[in-house]
Amino acid sequence: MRVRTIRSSLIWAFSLVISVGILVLGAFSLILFQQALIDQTQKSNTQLVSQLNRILDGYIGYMQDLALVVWNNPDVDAYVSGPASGDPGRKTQVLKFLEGIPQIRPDIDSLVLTRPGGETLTSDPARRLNPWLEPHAVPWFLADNPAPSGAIVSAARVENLYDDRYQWVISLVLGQPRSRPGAWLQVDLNYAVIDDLCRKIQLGRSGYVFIINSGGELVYHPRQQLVYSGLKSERIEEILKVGQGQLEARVGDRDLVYTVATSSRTGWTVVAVSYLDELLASARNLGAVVLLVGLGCLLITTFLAWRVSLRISRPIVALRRSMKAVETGNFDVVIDVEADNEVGELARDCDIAIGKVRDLMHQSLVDQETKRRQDLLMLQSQINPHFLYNTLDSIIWMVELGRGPDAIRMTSTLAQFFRLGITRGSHEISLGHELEHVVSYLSIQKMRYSTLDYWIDVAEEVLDTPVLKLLLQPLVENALYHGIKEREGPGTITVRGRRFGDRVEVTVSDDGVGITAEKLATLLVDPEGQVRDHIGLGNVHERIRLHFGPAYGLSLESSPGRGTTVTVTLPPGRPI
Amino acid sequence: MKLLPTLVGLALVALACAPARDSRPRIVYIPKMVAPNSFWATVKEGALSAAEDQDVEVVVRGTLEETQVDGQIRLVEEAVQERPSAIVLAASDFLRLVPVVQKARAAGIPVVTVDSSIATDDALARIGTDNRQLGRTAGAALLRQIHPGARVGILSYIRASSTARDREGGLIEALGGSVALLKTLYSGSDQETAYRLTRELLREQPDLGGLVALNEPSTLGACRALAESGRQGSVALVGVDASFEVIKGVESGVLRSVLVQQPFNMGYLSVQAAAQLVRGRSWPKNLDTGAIEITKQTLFLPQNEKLLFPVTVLNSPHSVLKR
Repeated sequence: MRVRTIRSSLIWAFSLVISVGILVLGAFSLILFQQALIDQTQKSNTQLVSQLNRILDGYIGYMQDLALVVWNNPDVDAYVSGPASGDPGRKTQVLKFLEGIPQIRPDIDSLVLTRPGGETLTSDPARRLNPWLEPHAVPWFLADNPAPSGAIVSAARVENLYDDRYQWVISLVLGQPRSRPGAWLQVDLNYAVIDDLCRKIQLGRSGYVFIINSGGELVYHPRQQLVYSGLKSERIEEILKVGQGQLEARVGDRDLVYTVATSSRTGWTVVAVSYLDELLASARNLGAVVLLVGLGCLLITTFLAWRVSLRISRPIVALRRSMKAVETGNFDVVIDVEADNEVGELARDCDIAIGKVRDLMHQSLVDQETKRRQDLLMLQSQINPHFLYNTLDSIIWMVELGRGPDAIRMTSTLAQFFRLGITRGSHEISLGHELEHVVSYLSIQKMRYSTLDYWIDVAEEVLDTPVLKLLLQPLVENALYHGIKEREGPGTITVRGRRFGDRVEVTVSDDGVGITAEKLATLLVDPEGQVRDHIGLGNVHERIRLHFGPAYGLSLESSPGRGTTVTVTLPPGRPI
Repeated sequence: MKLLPTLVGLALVALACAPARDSRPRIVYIPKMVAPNSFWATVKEGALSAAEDQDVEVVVRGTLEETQVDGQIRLVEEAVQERPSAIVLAASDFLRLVPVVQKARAAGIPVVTVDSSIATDDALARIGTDNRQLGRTAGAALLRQIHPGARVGILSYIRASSTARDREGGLIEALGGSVALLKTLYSGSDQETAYRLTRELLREQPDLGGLVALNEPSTLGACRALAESGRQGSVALVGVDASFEVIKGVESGVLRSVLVQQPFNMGYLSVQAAAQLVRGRSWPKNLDTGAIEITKQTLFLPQNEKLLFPVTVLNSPHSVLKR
């Protein structure tokens, strides 16, 4: 498995969290924004088309009112209904009336009044009629419906009534009521009015407005020519079917929304076209902004994660490097980690632990040294020359007195004593053997000091307990020299051995002078303070503790004048 | 760590996605002339409409007259210096514009020709009327008006002109062996010459059944001569290119039909082509904008009204549709 550093884990985790957050947030805001945008566009487009319809209704309504005024004018009525030859005065009257109207309303291009039989009067006498117009041709508004009633409104058309003049107009025709067959009045509205009105409307970047009449013909379209030449198409039939409301469609390669409103007055359908991709373009802009902000956050997060992980991992790396050194055995490293967090504390703890280990190792070295030195001391004490000289003096003295058997006994005991002490090189011997050694010593001393008496009272079960060589002999020696010899009269040394649960206690008691409490307190404490060639209680105590552990060792009990008891506590151990 | 470069890359992508309004492609449009001529005004209107629809910027540069070839060459050179996204050119000379278009192409600027192309293959797209197809349509229009085997005259304009040759070739192809073709006449693009030639033809050929005039001056001259002779009933005249007078000729019945090109579409499609090419999309190398046949019956149909009476001349009653 690949090792993942804390740093990369942290950076990945942070980046993942922030990326997911930004993505989810971005997606939601985008969807909501798009929806809001589309709703808003549809709302405003709906307002726009109904507004436009009202304006157009106004224009057409005005044309219709105007047409009705003209149509119902008594002179016009009389002219249209009158005989074919007519009254020239009335004709002039009518012409004057017609001429006045476009001067008041410049958006009215012309009025054309035709009476049965084809005589035509126009509002502009300066214009000649188109000579090529066939007199009996069916006028445009009769082409589809030969018997219309009421007002007819054209789509955008070119007025070809005049010679040398082709004007784009919207025409409204009143005509052919039953009373006046063949008579009609046409009002031409300058198409520029509608064109100007619609051309100004821009929906989004390339959205637009177009108008169709109830027959599906284009009244206005900004790309009329493209529509006619088939380069552009609109869903005219569907729009007419909808009449009012929204229609989403795909035209060409673009999705768009038609907002449709039909005027009942003109029969025209105003259509606003908004391209979805343009609407969504601003949403895409938002998306880009969200993405940018997200990336910014991601960069910052990554940077922070990098910094934080560095703060965490740098001390860990330093710690690890130090521990590597420790692994190779160098306990003198100083873990120099500067971090005021948990890792810093850990590093300090490690530092302390390493220090402890270092101290322990040092201690263990010192202990080994001490052990060796004490063993040496023990051996030195074994061949304590005073003891040997004294014993040899005693033997000489016995021989001189002629006490041969006593001298022999003493000499053989001395030999046994030394054999026990010097041989058996191992440190640990059984309590039984150590007792033999003690007994040898005591019996030699008893021969020298007749006042001495001793008792050995050791339970059979503890004879196998492992003890350190020459452990008891110094205690007995102490009891003899510092307890009994300091006192007048006879003395007794008692050695007892018993087992108490998981320990073995061996006591060496004397009924000598005893020790004062003050002195007692100092005896076990400072082995270094002892005289070099003398085995102190402290030395013994330390030997036991070093060998068997701190739970074991010596304890002293004494009262002045009544004697001293030294208790050796040992582990039961396995028998030697 | 690979994370950082990835992030930087993502940031760049996001920046690239971000809206950059100012980076709209800039297209220089150089027509044959900028004089108030309704054909070129309509082409320009188409070009500007396409600029809106395609979200590109169109800059119009042009000489006052069609004959200022040196001026146009200089304009193209200046445009190349500006390093626009594309150039839309209506070449006023078939041969002399070639080097400068090659220069533009060498500079990596796509060139689209509109209406009139150049002699080499250096324009990435050509938008205009397929003149051979126009000739065929004229032939078909005439065939509907005459009896099989009728004597038919052709009034062309300049013998060396490639468009004249194409139109004539298409016409002869369409007429095939079903008529008796007379020797082709050349008006030199001059209305008076066309008038004179037609008068002579009418005098020499009393049983002339049909006549096709291949451009606007020829059409006008022929129309006048035929109207004066009063033989419009027996001689079917088919013309090419509309003008105000030509429309009147159609209205009066002297011209049986006239073939009209589509300047708005030319302008629109040429800018669309340029925009598409700039955006790396494909566009056909040659695009025929087509020609519409207009007769007296179809003159005031809604779809033809827009073609014959463009909105640009909406409020000028004496507008002239002239090439």
